[in-house]
Amino acid sequence: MQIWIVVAAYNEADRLEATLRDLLTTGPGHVDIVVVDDGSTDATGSVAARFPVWTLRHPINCGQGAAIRTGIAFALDRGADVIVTFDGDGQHDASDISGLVAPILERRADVVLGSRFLGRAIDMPTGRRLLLAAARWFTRLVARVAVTDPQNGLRAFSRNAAREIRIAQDGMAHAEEIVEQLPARRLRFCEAPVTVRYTPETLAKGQRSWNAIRIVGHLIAGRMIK
Amino acid sequence: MNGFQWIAETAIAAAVASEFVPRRHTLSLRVRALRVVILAAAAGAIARPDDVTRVAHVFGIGRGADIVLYVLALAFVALSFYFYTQQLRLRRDLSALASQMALKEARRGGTGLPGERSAGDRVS
Repeated sequence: MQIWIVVAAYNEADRLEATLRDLLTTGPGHVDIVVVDDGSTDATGSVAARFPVWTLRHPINCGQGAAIRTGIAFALDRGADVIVTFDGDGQHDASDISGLVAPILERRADVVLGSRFLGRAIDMPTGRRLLLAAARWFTRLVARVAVTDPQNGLRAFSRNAAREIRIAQDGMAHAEEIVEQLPARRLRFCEAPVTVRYTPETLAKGQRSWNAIRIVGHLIAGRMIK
Repeated sequence: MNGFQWIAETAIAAAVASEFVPRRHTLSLRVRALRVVILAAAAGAIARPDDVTRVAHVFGIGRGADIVLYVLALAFVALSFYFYTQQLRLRRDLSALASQMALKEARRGGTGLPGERSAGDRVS
């Protein structure tokens, strides 16, 4: 079984080294890693190039959804059986990957969504907690999928699921888009507890509250254009 | 008709005429027909402002100028949305292009953690 980890990174030079070390030292044994440098203006690409990982570079910043789409396409092309998406900013814990891919390896699920609310959210500010709660209700209302953490970037896909799911949203709305497609494409999914660690750096770079409104706008507009 | 009306009507007539010039059009026939209808309505409104007032009265609006303002406000919203979706479409095309470039230029790093790595190689 080939497990591939897709790391989308935009201006993560300061955090990517720790993320990749974590993945290579505490990750689930032999995995292939692809870092998609999403048009960074800092040294993200050269940091990734120092590690035994594949590096892909978007010539311009396209958004996290686009970076994940590129990484998944690359992994599928190279024969991945399981694909894990992992944020490049060090928020995630590589030791969670084994638990995330287990339901797929045991053929119990096609998609496994990481959930910080089933696991741990270290130093999560109240504002972020409320925002994620609103996202959860939005997903239940619009996508009619009851998951606890639809915005979590740590997920695992079987090869079949990765091929089936179409990520059209270039930006952050891709998370909602992925969850929406699960019932429509008859994919079996479950959640796995994961740890998300908040630091001042990740919070400074992370989503602002008003971005939630933009994400909803992108979702609506995305449905209107082919 | 006053000077402004003559200038506006001439410009609109030229715009309508250009729609009928045989050439390779990028827009569909339906969109072009809609454009001609809008231009014709504008020409009528400029040439016969009293008719605009009569239309306004039909909708319970006091002045012709008000109904023109309302229509312009609605047109602005519709156009804004149109350009927004066009921009999204363009961004998607750019992303697809960026993705293709990235996939072609994929590079593999060393064989160990930094400090113990060897030289990298490159796809294709």
